Amino acid sequence: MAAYENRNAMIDHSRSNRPSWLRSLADSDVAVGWLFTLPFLVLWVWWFLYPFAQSFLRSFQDVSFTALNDATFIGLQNYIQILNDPEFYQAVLHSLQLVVIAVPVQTLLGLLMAVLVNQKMKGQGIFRTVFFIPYITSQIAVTTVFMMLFKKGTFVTKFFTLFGFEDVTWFADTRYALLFVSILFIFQQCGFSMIVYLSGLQEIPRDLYEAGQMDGASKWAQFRYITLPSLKPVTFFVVSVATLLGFQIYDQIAAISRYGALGSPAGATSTVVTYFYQHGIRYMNIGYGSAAVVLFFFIIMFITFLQKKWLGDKE
Amino acid sequence: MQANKRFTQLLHYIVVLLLALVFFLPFAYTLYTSFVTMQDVNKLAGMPHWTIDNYKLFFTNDAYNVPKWFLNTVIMTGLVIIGSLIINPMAGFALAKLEFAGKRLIFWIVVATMMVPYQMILIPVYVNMAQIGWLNTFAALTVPFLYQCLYIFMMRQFFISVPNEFIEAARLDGLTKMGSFWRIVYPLAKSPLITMSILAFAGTWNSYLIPSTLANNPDQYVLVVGLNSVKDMFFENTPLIMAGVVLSTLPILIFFFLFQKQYVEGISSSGIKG
Amino acid sequence: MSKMKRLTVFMLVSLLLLVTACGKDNGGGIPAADKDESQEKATVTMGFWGTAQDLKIYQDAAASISDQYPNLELKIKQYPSSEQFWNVLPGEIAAGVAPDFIKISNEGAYEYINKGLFTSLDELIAPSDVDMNRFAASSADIWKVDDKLYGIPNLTMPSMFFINADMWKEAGLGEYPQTWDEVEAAAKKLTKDDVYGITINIDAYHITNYVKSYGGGWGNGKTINSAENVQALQKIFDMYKEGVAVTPKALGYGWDGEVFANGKAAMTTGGYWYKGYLKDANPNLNYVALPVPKGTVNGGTMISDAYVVLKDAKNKEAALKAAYYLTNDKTQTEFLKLGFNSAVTSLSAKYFEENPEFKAVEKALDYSTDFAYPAETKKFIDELVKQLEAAILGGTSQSPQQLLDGIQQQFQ
Repeated sequence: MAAYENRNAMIDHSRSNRPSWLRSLADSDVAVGWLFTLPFLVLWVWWFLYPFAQSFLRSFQDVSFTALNDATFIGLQNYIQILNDPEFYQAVLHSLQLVVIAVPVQTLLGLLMAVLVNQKMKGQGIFRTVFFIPYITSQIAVTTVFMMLFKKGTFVTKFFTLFGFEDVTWFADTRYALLFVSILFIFQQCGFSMIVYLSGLQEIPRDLYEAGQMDGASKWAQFRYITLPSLKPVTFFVVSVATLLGFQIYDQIAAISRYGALGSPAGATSTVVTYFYQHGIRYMNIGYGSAAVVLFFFIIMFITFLQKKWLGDKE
Repeated sequence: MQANKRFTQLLHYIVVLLLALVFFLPFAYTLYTSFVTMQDVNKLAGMPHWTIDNYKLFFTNDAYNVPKWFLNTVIMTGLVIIGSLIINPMAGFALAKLEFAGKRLIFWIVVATMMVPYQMILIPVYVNMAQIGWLNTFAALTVPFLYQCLYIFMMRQFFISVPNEFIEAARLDGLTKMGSFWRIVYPLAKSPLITMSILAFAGTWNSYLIPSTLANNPDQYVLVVGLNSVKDMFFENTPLIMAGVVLSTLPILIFFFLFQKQYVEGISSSGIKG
Repeated sequence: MSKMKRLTVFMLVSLLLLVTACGKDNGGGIPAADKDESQEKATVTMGFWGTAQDLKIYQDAAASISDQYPNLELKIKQYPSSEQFWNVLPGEIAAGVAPDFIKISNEGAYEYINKGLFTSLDELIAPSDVDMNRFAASSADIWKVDDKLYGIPNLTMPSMFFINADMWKEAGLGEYPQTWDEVEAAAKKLTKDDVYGITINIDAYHITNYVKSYGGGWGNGKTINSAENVQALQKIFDMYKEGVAVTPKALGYGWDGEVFANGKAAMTTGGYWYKGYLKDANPNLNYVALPVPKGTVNGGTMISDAYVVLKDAKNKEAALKAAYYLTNDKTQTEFLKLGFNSAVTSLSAKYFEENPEFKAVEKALDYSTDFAYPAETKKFIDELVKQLEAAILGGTSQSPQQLLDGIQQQFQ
């Protein structure tokens, strides 16, 4: 409590003589709640809801690429067509596979790295920076480099033969390509999770550990019973963000498919976003592409809802 | 006991070093590639083959106005970060600590917004921008991005951990809820705010899709878009692209290195305690 | 006020000021034509993506356009990439800020023409004083759909076949091959260790060349599973099965040019732009460029660039004049030096003097033809590549006939 009292002493009491209605407004949850969310809501309605509503409407239309305003209403036809397209299910499946592989691994790795570089050590700043580098380097550049590393005969693919993989060019093999994309995603997303966890670790009250030490708890017990529970809200954030970003992964796949069709090889890396991109933008069928995103939107919403339940996020 | 501690420490170093090696490798390769000619891409060439021509080109060719692009990027990133530091924590706090009708709805708005790939709304955004004459202005690159749902969500998750008694105590001392946010909670949320700034900095600085669409005039290019315009019609000059990547990544690297020092175990956390 | 609060207010205010200032400051997005309404001069914008060298040539041309057309002003609008251009075009058209004309390759043009993106030029030719006789008929024909002209040709060049001359000599092979059968036989001798006889990029451009040399073609979607096409595909499959061919991807390369430059394959199909790449990627490489080998007939694809006027261009006649101006001898000569063969007949001979390594390909100008992809070009290309990748990289057991039948079904 000592630190809190310090802060408290700094509070300036001179202005408590403001009009009382203003004061009670500033103390009301409803007023402050709406006031604090207002800037966000204004910008959101203007620059998200309005354009999104336009796109949403297109999902019920047959839209000409060259004349966006010249559209015909076709009801649910786009949706029906998508639900009858086996490629859509394949794309959904790939997206789910990617997330199921990548999210747990990147979460654990991010936490591990945060714990490692949170402890005092020589070169701490350098190591933190190094772990963060993949996140800030352009995704296309990292993909290009990974493509140089994961080709047949390099030390990387040879190393993976120890785990039963064949020595082939990973992104050219229909069995390994999606795993390759998952590895890329894990690699880049770890740095993000690390620094979120790093600041999460700063927020854990020191005296909890002090109390733990007095009780003679081992390092592991402290981690298990103090650190992990305290990081629960942060973990919910890290997991759901990784899930969302995993579902939206695009640049890496586009880079692999640069000289072929999106989702190369042979559609092994097609995801819902590449499906949207291919139909909505490449084939210029914007209504159809929008419908795919809307459908997928509900799938992710459902998953996030479940995650919120499982990870016990309180409100 | 002493030996055991030594061993743990050694193990710690070995694990960190190994991980660092893996995580640095791709950047090292990027760095290397940026210093060779196209002939040596995909091969390991010795020092005598290295060249700084790739970098030189960016600063000598008239088509590449790197200083201007750099300035554009600084302005864009700066404005977005300032906005983020105000709007996101405010909304995050409201969602974490205040009880009001509509709160659940707003929370799900935040979450749902993150799920929509930006490509889907890019064309309507573009048309709306054009209608109000914002294309190729900083307004286009910043105003819609002054808030980010990702960081509102993040700030909410951090503020949830702030004990309620803490705000109550501040109110007993004569502060309103609003006041307790600005004067107690906000200043003490230093490390989440730094995290947000770092992430917002990296995200904005590196963004390509949005600036290349909303500001596609060479004078208004931001660094990443400008450096990417070196692509040839038919093939890629990989070393040149990598030199561009290094040039655009370095500022974020420096920014991060300077700010990560703020994560110091046991100091910044002295405030928020139960 | 507390320091924190003051700082926040200050930041908010300065942010608002900056943002409003930026918003008003520069109306760069407003089409220039609106501002010039009072004047007689017409402003035309050309949309462009490409290298800095190309940009320089276009800017020089824009600077001198008033010599010939005093009432024209030409603006060059550069896009970061072609992908970026197509991403943003629908928005630009809806907002009325799209360029008036663009340069485009015939590989994807049929789809856009079919979707009504470009203006047919026939009625504008006479009033704009455009002399179509300056261009080779073969290239102008490529830009005709249903007898309507859609483009002013800028470049025309047949595709070709590249051989690593040193490897050829080393293997003790004599005359260069004229047919795919000879190529196949040579590839067997050229394959050793980690070098493959030929790299066949699973890409519509390359596949189309094989198909055409067997007298086949896509027929705009009508003849996808023709016997000739099946025969061509069979040849590709054979070379893979024998282990003398490799996809760039399987070796970890992006495209066949890289495989060829790095000496991992001795032969590949290609185009005029390989020259610039090979010069940078491997200046010591000795290569020869030949016409695409025969399957059963002389055949291959013709690559052609043209300037097309967008349907929504405000002043179509002015746009056509500006486009035509870009085919002037001086500008075309500049491009010629960069390795682009001009569609202007009188300049074409000079091209083969400037680029002697392509001399052998000159005769292919007579018989090479347009790609003739289905109207849903991108969808077709993606499907073709996907199915071929599944067969060659994924090991599905589809025969060429089954594969093409499957695609034909989707494109009636």
